[in-house]
Amino acid sequence: MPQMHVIDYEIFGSDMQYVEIELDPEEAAVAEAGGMMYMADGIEMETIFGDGSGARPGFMGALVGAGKRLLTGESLFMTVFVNKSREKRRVAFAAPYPGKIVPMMLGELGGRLICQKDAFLCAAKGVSIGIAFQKRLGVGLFGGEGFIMQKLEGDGLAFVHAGGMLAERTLAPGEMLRVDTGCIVAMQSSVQYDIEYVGKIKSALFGGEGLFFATLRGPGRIWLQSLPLSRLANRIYAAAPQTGGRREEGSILGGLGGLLDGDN
Amino acid sequence: MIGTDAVGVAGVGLCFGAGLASHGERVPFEVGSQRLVLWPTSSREHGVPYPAIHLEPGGFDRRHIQLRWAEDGVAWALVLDDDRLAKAVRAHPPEGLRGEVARLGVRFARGRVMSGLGWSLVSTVVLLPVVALGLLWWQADRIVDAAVGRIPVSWEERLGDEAFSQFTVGATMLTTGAAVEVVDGIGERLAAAAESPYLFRWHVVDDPQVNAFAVPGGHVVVFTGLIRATASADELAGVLAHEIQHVVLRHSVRGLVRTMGWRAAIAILFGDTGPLSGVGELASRLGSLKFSRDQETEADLGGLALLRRARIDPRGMIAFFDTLAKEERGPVAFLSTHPVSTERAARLRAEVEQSGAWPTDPFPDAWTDVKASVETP
Repeated sequence: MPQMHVIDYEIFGSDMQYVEIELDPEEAAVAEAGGMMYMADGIEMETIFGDGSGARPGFMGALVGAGKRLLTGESLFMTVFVNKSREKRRVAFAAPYPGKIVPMMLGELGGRLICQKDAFLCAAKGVSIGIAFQKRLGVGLFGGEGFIMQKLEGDGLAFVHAGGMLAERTLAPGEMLRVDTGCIVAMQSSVQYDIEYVGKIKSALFGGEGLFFATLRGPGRIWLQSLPLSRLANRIYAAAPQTGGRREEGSILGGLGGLLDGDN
Repeated sequence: MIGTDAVGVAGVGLCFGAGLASHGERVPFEVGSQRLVLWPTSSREHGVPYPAIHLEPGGFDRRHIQLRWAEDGVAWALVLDDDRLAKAVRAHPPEGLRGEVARLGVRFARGRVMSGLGWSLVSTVVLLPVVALGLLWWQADRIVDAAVGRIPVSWEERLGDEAFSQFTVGATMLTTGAAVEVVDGIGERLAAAAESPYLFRWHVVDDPQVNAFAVPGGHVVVFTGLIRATASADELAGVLAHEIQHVVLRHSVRGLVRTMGWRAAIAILFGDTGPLSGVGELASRLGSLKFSRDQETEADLGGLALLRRARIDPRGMIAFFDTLAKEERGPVAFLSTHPVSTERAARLRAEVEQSGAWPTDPFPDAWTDVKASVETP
């Protein structure tokens, strides 16, 4: 198990949040390239290939990690912020759209968290950011978010971002919740993720909720967002006077996926 | 942490239940011979009898094993998210869990089969266009044959008349002179031997290119440059026999049908635009070049057979290809879609050797006079 960096943090703002992280000397945080808001003097920024967790050593390991990141549709590089001074220093990361920043203590959550692919904001260095590839067909095809989700592994602190209001639910063993596929932010790896057909053609066509739901089955904790960015973007795009069309969802079915997944 | 009934697999799993954090806690466990033993805290031992437990596939992609049971109305679960641990439990189940493990095995297997079926279906749908294209490629000649067989000669003649009249715009057609007469004479002799439904019409155009071509339906155009490049009437007869074969074997129409067919197939399979249609287009072009070279070879061999029927010396045809080979780098327009001349000459030579020489009736014309008549002053 690679060395985890223990970090202190503070979240500011209510609907448009940012998180300020306090780094001890030689402590480091990793973030998605482009997420940094400000950093104190003494913190050095370094762009690395992969996630810097050292989970897969060597150049090939880094290449594999980067390739997987490419699959999730993110940049190949991540940025590491290292406190090179002798005192505590602060660095802040901002959420990219209105919503909530959720701190996740991975150690307490069983060491593994499955996230929607653009939910990750930043983490203590040592957290491995990989992909969880959904091998089960229905989930992959009709899951709205496609086959690929992010997998955060380690026992350090990680921050994920949810659009709109955050709903945190704990599912007892066997307890089930139906969720719009776009509204899932994160779940513990013990939660079972399935896709369920709505079952009534009438509500599928005229209900505006799409043909498929995600069903999440406990045990485990789940985090839901009230406003997926795609839903917000659709409304903005539709409202923009110079555009006659609409943005498609990121499903592999393209236009068909947009029709099916409910975020219309 | 070894209990009294310790025999089985031991490890740490993610446990949910009364008195534990709602997001689960890492709890050491042991699969004993009589019961499952948990240590929620290091001092407290918690035993669960096997008949109460059932196994479920669980987790994000249902690859974990979850042991579930209820105590006092509270649902408990022990998640084995470590693959090795799960495998060990499935490999060595205690007596009381054997039935559940077998049931779980069936469910995993069924899941694998369904998933495999689903993925095969998706890959089939994705690969179908590629397979269809491959089939089309493989059977292209047969499909083209069938289509061309349905095109009437009259349709071909209309097409040829159209193409020929377009060619004559701006071209200097010769209507009299030794060249026209000799081309007509050789042509008719060959056409009589060919016994085809086409009515051949012979034309000479004043153009320095070493070229001759046939349009569908029977118009054959000879360039004066070609006449100047030949050394005898036999050589010209070889070229004309080759062109007659293009008409008789309906090469132009076949090429047309083939190209249009490919265009349509590519448009149907890949759409009008996009990278795949570009690749398909390229493949079809390369294919048609190969097709064209094959047709040339076919016309060469057919032409040779025609020379034999018309009792014309085949050495002229071979000699002409030798001449072309020497000038291959010169302004010889009609070679781009054609095989290399040396190869063509060699193939004809081999063919003649195999079939043996045949009796010939030489042409009466004095070839130098014919050439002189088309010499530019």
